[in-house]
Amino acid sequence: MRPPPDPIPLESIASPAVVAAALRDLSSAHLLRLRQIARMRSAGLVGVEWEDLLQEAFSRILAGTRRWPVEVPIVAFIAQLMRSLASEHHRQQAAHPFVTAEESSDPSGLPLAIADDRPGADLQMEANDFRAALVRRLEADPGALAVLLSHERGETAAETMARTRLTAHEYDAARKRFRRLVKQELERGGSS
Amino acid sequence: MSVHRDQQNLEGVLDAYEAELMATADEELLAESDEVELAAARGVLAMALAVADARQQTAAARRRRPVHRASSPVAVPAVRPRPEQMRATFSSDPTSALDDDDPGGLPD
Repeated sequence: MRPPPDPIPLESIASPAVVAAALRDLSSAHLLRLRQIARMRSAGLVGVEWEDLLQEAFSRILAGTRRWPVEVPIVAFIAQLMRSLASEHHRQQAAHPFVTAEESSDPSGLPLAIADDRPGADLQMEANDFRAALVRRLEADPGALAVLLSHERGETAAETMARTRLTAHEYDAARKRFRRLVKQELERGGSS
Repeated sequence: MSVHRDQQNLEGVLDAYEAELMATADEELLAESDEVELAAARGVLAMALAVADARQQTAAARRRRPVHRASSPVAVPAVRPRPEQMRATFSSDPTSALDDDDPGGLPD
């Protein structure tokens, strides 16, 4: 039986020098994209700020522990890497909940009360708050909501414009409002 | 169940936002951001590059550095008398070599 082929051909893996050069060449716009993506992926993580997530992604790709195939745009690769790292953090935090035991004077040594500090609970609350706030704002802006639905349905811009009867100019403006709205909610709910 | 659905919905919003960020023109994105945001991202990148560079230099220095370990045996060239020297030295009288006039040289 033949072994399964390596999904990433060895020759397409960037060397550490190539990775470092590509990162040094990242434009301001790409850095801003990555910052925003790090912000949203770190939302709800306990003790992991956006800087930590972005730094971790850069470090892993530079160290070669996550191999970058050169044919994949580096920004897309780092974005995907941050999504995967955030998922790992969420899983770890859900698997190892922090429990705070209050000190007890009971000679048995048993704590009087145990506070539920589970990150999962925080995440759910934050996710719900974030979504609720976002939905409230999107419902007040049908154009921005149309942008979200367009992505969720996998529509093209033309299909969305045909469905919503928005002109190209109106759709562009709606996209801008959608970005601004999500960014504002991330800034409000997330860490700075 | 509804919490799970909410989480999925939130993922949908975040994925949509990521797709929007990727599709936005550079100049538009720059106009929507400020210098502080950019400086912060640059700082994170500079730090990661500096750490990677330091790691590489440390690794290179380790490779260049000769190994001197106190516990490692010192290599001494094996100097062994040739068989004829051994025979001459201890041929008949084992003490004859000690009587040699020239203690530093070979026995007569």
